[in-house]
Amino acid sequence: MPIMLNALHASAGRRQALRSLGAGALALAAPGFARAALTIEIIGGNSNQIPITILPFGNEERQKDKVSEIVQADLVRSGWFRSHDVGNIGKPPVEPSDVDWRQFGTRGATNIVIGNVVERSDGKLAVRFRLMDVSKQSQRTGFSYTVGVEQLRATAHKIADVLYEELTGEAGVFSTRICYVVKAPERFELQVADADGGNADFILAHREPIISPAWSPDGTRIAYVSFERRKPIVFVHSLADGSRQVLANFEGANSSPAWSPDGSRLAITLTRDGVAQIYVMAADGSSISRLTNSQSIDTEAAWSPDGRTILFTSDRGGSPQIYRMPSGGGNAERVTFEGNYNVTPRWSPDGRSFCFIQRNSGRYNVAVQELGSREAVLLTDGRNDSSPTFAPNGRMILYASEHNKRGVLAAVSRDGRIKQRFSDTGGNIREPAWGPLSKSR
Amino acid sequence: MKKLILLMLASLLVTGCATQDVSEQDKAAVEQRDLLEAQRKAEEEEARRRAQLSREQEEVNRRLDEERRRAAEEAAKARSDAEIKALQNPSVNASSLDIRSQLKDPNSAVSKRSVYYDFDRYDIREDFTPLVEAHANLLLQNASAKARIEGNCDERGSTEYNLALGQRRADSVKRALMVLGVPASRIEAVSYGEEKPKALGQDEDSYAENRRSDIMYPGNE
Repeated sequence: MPIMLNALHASAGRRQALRSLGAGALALAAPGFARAALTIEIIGGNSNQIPITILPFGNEERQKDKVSEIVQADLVRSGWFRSHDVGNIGKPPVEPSDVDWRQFGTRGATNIVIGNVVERSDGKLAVRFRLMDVSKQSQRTGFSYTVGVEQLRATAHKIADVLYEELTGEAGVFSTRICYVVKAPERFELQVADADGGNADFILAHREPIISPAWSPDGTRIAYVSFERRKPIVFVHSLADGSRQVLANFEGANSSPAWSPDGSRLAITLTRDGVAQIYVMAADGSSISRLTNSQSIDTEAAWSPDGRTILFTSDRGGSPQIYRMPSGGGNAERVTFEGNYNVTPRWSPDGRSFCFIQRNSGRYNVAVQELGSREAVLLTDGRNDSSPTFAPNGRMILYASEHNKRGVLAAVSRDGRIKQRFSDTGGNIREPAWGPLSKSR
Repeated sequence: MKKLILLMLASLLVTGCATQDVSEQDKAAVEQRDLLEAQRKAEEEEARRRAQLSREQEEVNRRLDEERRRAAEEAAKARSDAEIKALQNPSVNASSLDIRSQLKDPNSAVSKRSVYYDFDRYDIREDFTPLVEAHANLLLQNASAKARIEGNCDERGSTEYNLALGQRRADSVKRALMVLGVPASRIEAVSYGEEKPKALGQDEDSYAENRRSDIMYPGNE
C-alpha cells in the first residue's frame, strides 16, 4: 500500500509536490529473529559540515521511535552535518507561526527543523516536518506522511533523505538497505539491514559459507554464492517472498554474481571449462555465454552503470590486476598498475571512477581511481580491508574491515575525509553490499 | 510324592540345560573375540607391512592385486548374478576397510593428506610429490574409491580471487593424480577459498597452514 507524501510547500519548484513511498519494500520476508544491533561510530569527519538544528517533534515522545532523534543521528553520522545546539528554548515550535526567528538568530542557528507526530483516529500517524531557513525567515521544504506505527523509523530515514538532498544537492541514502554475511562458529547468516544497521534480519542461514551477495538493480532480489551443497553455487533470492532459485550449478566453482544495470543478465565466474572464467547468464538462467577466454583466473566482473563496460580481476599478467573489456566480451585492457595485487573493482554510480582493494606493504586497503587515470588514491589503512561497495549516491564506500580481531563493517567517504565503523554484538561481519536507491523516492 | 520327584527331575533337567546354554554362549563369545583379535592383528600387521614397503614394492603389489582382481572378475563372470553379488559385497567391504586403515595409520604415506602452497601460488611444490604419488597409488589399488580435493587459501585479499585460487590449487592436485593414472571421474576438485580456515591466527604460520589442498575420501573417512 503506497503512502502519499504531501508537500506542504514545494521549494523553488524543484521538488515534486507528490511523492510516494513503497511501504511493501520495507517488509522483509525473513522470520523474526534476534537482531544484530549495529551502531555507527564516526572516526574522522568532514571539516566543512553543514550546521543543522533538529528540534523535538511535537508529541513524538509518545512513540517508541523518536523521529527527530533518528533524523539527527542519520544526518550527523553521515559526516556531512553537525548538530547545532540552541540550548534551552522552552517549548519547541511545531508550526511556522510558532517560530521566534530572533531567538534562533541570536543563538546562531541557520537551519532548523520542526515537526510533529499526530495520532489519527484510524490508528495511523501523521508525521509532518519543515526545514526552516533562519536568515530568510521562511520555509525551505516540508512534507507530511501518513504511516503506520511500525513505519515510523523508515519515515524518519525518508525525512533525513529529504533534508540531505535539500542541503547538499545529492540524494540521501538513509532509506537504502545493505546486506552482509555474519559468520559465527558453525553458522553463516546473510543479513539485510537499513543503511544505519537498524532493522537487521537474516534471509538465509546455514552451516556452510555464504559469499558475494549482490543486489539486483531494483532492490528486489539478491544473488549470492552459497556452499550449502558442499561446493559454491550461485542462487538468486527474492526478498518479497523468500523464494530462491539456483542460477548456476555447473561442475567446479560457480561464483561472483554481478547484475547488469537493467537487471536482465548476470555476469558470473565458472570453472566448468578449467580455470575461473567470466560468463554471462540471463537472470532467469535461460541462456549462458562465455565472456573471457584466457588461461588465467578471470573473475569479479562489475558492469559499468551504462552497461557498456565490465571491469574484472585477472592474473593474466602474472599478478592479480584489474582489467576493462566491452560488456559483450573482446579485448581486455589493464587499468591498474601500482603494486602487484589489485582486486575487487566496483564502479562509482556516476561511472567515472571505481574503487577496489590494493595491497600495500602487506596491508590490503580500499583505493579509488578515476577511469583513464593510472593513479590510485588509497582511502583506508586497515590490515585486511575487503569487499568495497559504493553507496548509491557515490559519497561513501562501505567495506569489510577488522577491529579487535573481528570482522566489522566500515565506511569511508569518496574523498577519504569521513570514516565510520559499524559495531555489533557478536560474530564476524563480512561481504557487505550496498543496495540501490529505492525507486519510489 | 511321585509328583514331587517328577517336579525335581524336571527342574534339574531345566537347570542342566540352562548351564549348558551359558557355557556354549561363552564359548561362542570367546571364539568371536579371538576371531576379531586375529582379524585386528592381521590388519595391523598388514598396515605395518605396507608402511614398510617401498614405493616400488607397492607398485608390484598393486599389479599383483590388479591381476588377482582381474582373475576374480573373470571367475565371477562365469557364475550366476546372485553369486556375483555375494562375492562382490565382501570384497568391497574389505577394500574400504583397507583404505580406512591406511589413511589412519600414522606410518602410512597416505596418512598425510595436505599439500601446501606458497603465497598466491597453486603449483605443487617438489616436497609434496611423494604425498600425491602415495594417494594416486591408494586410488589405483582401490578401484571403487573416490577422492575429493578441497582447495583453501589464507584470509587475506579478495574472497572471490581466493575462491578461484583455491580451485586452481585443488585442480593442480587433481591433474597430478590424473597424470599418475587415476581417472578424472574418480576425483572431485572443489574450492572453499578463504572460507574454511584451519588455523585461525593472523600470522604467517596460520596463513601458511591455510594455503592448502586436502585430499579427502568421501565414505572412507
